[in-house]
Amino acid sequence: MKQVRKYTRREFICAGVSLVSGVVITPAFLSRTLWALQTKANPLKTAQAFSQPEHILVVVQLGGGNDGLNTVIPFTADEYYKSRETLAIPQNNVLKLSDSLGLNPEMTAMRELYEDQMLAVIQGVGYPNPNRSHFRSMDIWHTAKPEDISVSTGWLGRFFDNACKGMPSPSAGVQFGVDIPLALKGETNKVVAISNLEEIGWKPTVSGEKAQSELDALDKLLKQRIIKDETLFVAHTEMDTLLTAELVEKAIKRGISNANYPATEFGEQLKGTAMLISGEFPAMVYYVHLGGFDTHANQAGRHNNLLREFSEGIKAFFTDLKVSGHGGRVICLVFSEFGRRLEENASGGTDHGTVNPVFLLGERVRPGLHGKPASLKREDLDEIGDPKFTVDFRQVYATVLEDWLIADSFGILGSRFSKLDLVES
Amino acid sequence: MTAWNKELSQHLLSRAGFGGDVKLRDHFVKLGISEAVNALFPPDNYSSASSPDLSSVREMEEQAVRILRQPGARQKLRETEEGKELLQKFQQANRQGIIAITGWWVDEMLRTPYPLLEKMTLFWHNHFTSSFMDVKRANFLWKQNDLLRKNALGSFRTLLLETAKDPAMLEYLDNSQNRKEHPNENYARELCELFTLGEGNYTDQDVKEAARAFTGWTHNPQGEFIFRPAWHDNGEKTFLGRRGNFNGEDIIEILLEEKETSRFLTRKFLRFFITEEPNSQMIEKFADIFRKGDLEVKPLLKSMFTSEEFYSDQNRGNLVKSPVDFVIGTLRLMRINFPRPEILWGFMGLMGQRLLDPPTVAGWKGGKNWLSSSTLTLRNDFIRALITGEIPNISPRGKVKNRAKQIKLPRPPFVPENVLPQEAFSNPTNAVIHTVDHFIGRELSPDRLQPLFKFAQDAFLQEKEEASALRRITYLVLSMPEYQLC
Repeated sequence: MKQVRKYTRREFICAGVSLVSGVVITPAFLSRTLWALQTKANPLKTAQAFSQPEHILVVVQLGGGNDGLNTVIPFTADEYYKSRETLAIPQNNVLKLSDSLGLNPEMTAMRELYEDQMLAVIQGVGYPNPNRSHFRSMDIWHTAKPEDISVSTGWLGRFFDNACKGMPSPSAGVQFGVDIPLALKGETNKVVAISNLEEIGWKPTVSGEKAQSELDALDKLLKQRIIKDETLFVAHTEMDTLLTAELVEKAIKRGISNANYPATEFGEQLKGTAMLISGEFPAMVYYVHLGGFDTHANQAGRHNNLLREFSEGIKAFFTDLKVSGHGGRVICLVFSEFGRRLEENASGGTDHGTVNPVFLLGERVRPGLHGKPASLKREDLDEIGDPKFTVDFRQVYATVLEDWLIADSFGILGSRFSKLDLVES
Repeated sequence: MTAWNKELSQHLLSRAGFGGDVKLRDHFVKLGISEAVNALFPPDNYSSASSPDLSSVREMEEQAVRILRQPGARQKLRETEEGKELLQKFQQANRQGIIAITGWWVDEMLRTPYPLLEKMTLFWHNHFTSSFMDVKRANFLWKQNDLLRKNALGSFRTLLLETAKDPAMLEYLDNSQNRKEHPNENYARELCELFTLGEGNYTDQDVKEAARAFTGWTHNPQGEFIFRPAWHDNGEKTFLGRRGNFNGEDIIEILLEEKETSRFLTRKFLRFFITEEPNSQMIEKFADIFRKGDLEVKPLLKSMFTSEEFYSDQNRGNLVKSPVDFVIGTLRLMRINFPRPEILWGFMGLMGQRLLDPPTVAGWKGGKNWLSSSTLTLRNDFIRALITGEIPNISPRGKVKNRAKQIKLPRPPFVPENVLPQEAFSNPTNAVIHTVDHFIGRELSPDRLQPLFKFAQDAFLQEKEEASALRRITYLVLSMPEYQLC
């Protein structure tokens, strides 16, 4: 019974692509092109339609290494106050979550989500033999394979590969920004990168009938048999662009967004995500970015501003979803490549560290504090002076994959990781 | 290697520069491979006739330095109305300075007789990165660009040592604030990871020790390097297995001795000029040449540009053009004098490569990462703008302003008569053949051209003037996947 349910569910949620025989909703020009290329010799599969996935994951990447210790503050730990003479947040200012932990005072919007039972904080998240390079550590979080430097697929890319086998769709995931992050890369690409919802597609030089001959010519140029791998890669990307353009255009006509987002790129990305979700765009995964967390010097003001932008953005996003009625379909996962050193440096900043809290947000998360905070006691720190992890980040991934995206985490992560109790059933 | 011919010469021009049109390509064929390669390099004493106009920034800086010498100046600047106004003017001048630098650079790329020099300056800008988002001083960023360009084809040893003392770098990676009490590891880490050895070839302990060696390396308000002995940690350090009272220069010497440094750099050169996935045999071969030439760039590049690997079938038409390659290359091929270089800077930014603002300290990822739905849309929009004269109103910072307010030029910038031979206008078939030859310059299979022949026939019927048909044919040719590659 479970097998059957799983199978149909997966079919359904897979980029919202479902089989509807005889109905072709995408414009004939595009569908011909796309199916001809990607489904090759199976004419039965050409009759497909897009529908919206039941469960959506929004990943928020805090780039540069967020200072977790000044985000979720251990306000009863002496070691914290001793190590951070200038940067420690005074106990009285902390927005308390429990009798020992609280949020940075700039995160009032996040605190409201906590009170609304929408925020789960997973503490002490990291991985064995922490790497303090931004780029290697980010790759580790993206591939979920810390021990293997040659992996070229990401955990969500492999999810698309597994869950959407044989299903052509360039729109299983949406990346906001110019290039597709490793996390979303699979054996075949099922993701689009969008930096501006209104600027996507290919425009003819003229209008009317003349335009049609340009479109036809482009169609033929992309459809033709192409031998060289690199050329084929470009042709696929171009076709994904054309198909996405149609889907985006439809979605933004239907989409709703009225909430107040920060007037920043991060705010725009979240607003775009809310628009696409409420406009019934078929993606299962959205990827948004907030950078600037690499605070080696003069950290205090910058970090506070970032945390405010982050909290207010997320709050606006969930407000939008509540109004449009899609709140129950979305879970948001927030991570950074590493935390920062417990001890501050002489430039009023912090250097690269290890563990960090991970946030999970949404109506369907099990709210509250999860996992165990990493010990800050000197004897418990590693040889560089950083705390040691208590929760492996792949446990969080396994939970999200199994309990939210209804996928087999073993196939994707290559190992069995014990799940946490993070998603309401 | 197959005989030196127009395709190989075209390949050399695209990789070592911003592409070449039919004329230049034929000239290179006549020169023969070794003279052609020599012709890419500027004479040793070469420098550009112009430089960016930073006079207003310099004036502001002199004022600021004078004020900063007075006691209590910093407070006065922050707290008095007069001070605030001055700060604002200072920031304003620096923002304009950034636009002056990038505009000048784009223009230089369009006009230079030595595109290789610009390409290598860009290579180093992507290696020893700095961004105006963090380094807010236009003067510092120009100083860095000038340093990179003067040594672009010279010695890696000089580049490594001089960038370590460069004010933009000292600011960007915070070494200007690195003191012995609690060292700042930012520069030391990237020095090992991104500038020399590569990740995995040093330990976190090595980073901590190197950071101690660079304590006290900072700069004065004018941007001159200074060493502050009082901030420096004179103690013994252990770095990559060596022990001693090392200072910054010692650390750099040790890094230059390491074989991994030459391998790491060579791999990056190969990825930039030959293939995204160089094999270890290739890396060893060229790293060896790099070391034997005492880490000089010019001999390494010469051996690369005359190598079998560079001209092999699989390594031609396999690299994705960067936004700079794409924009500059197209304008050069179209012989367009674009009057507003800051719009070009904005366009490249939207395509994912905003000069003086790399996305991270590791620079632009490059390769296939350049292409996505988002960037491909912009690339086609750019071509379309040159063909139609409808230019999106892009701010220098790279945001598309109100779409309705696009700039409509009185006539399209691209004039086919300026670049295509007379024959191209005679009939649809010739139109396609010459357009493909001029803009792509690689042999395409006849069936690849079929859709273009068909379209060219339509276009010749639909348009009264052949030139209009040629413009539309060019748009289709430049929308082909092959045009994104070189």
